[in-house]
Amino acid sequence: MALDTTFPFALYETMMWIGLGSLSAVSMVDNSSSLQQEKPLYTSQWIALKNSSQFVSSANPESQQHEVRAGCLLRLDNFSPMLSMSDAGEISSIFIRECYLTWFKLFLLAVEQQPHGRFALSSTPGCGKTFATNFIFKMAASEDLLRVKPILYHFGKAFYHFHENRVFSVTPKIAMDIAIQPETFYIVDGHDATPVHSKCLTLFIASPCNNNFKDWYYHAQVMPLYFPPWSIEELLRCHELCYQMIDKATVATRFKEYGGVAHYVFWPHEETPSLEGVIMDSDAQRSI
Amino acid sequence: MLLHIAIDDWMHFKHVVLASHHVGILLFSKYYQETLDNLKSLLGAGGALAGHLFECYIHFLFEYGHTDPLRCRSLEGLHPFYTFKTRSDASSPRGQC
Repeated sequence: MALDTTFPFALYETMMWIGLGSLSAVSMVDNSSSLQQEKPLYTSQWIALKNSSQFVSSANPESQQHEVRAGCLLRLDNFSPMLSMSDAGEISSIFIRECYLTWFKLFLLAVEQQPHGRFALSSTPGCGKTFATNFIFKMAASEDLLRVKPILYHFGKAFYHFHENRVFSVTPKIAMDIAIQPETFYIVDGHDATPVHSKCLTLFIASPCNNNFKDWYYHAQVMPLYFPPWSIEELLRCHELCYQMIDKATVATRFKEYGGVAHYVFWPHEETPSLEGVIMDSDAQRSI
Repeated sequence: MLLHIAIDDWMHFKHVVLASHHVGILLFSKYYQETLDNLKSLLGAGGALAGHLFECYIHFLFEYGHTDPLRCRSLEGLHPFYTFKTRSDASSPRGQC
């Protein structure tokens, strides 16, 4: 068994040494099953997301439209769970915030200027970065500029490679090889992910207090863009579409206490996290 | 949770703001009481620093206190406290009891 897992690495390194380096890492992924493992669930969810065309408007939740707009919901045609490889759990729909569209326009403009550039995205925790990642997957599959790019998604210590309608879990070593391919779109999703060296279009999404994130954008000389906190209008629109089990007055009360953080405003339990507890905490500064 | 990031039109960081008015009130209550307690314990603890601060405080009162009452403790007799007006009574040695 040990021979099976080490052999492809040895073969690959030997080929690079004798001058067969032009053989791409992607083809290695296809050929060395011990270094990558297809994730059938993610593959089917990825295909479903690419094919999905449902955007549900808040004005008429029963209606469907094919154009992405702020204040709409993105969901799959058969209402099945959406692609989610982070720790956010099962996601059935995504509320499209106006800032998602604004950011994506800015991002596309910047990518046209710097096709292999590095970009950083952040926001106050709880304002929708994780859901934005799913939105980015959808938009990356829709936009001509990004559609052709294989995606390397890095969450925590896990790497996933989106290649030709299939999603693979890959080892860090293979991920490093993929990240230096200029055609790759490398998405690093916060938490304790330390980005690997890349020579491709790279997007790092993380909380503003993430030290890896701060080091990365400082050294990459990148100015991060931020999503703003939610407005009460946005929260109420989202409530109307997704969280009707929560009383509308509760949404307004929580907004007054916590401000525009959807994570707390749409807290699923009656008892929300204590602000007083955070204020008494001597490390409260970290809670930004 | 307590502070939120405000951004400009280009989605760049502008400044941080308090999460809500409610958070502002909670923070003020905590830090007002904490700062007052710290000052009281600093001035009441004795030692060289407390002495210097007390001296500064008294000089300030004499110079700018005007009609602010200054209560002094007598170490003689049965009348423990006298109240002086800090500036206008400076010429008379003793104010009213």
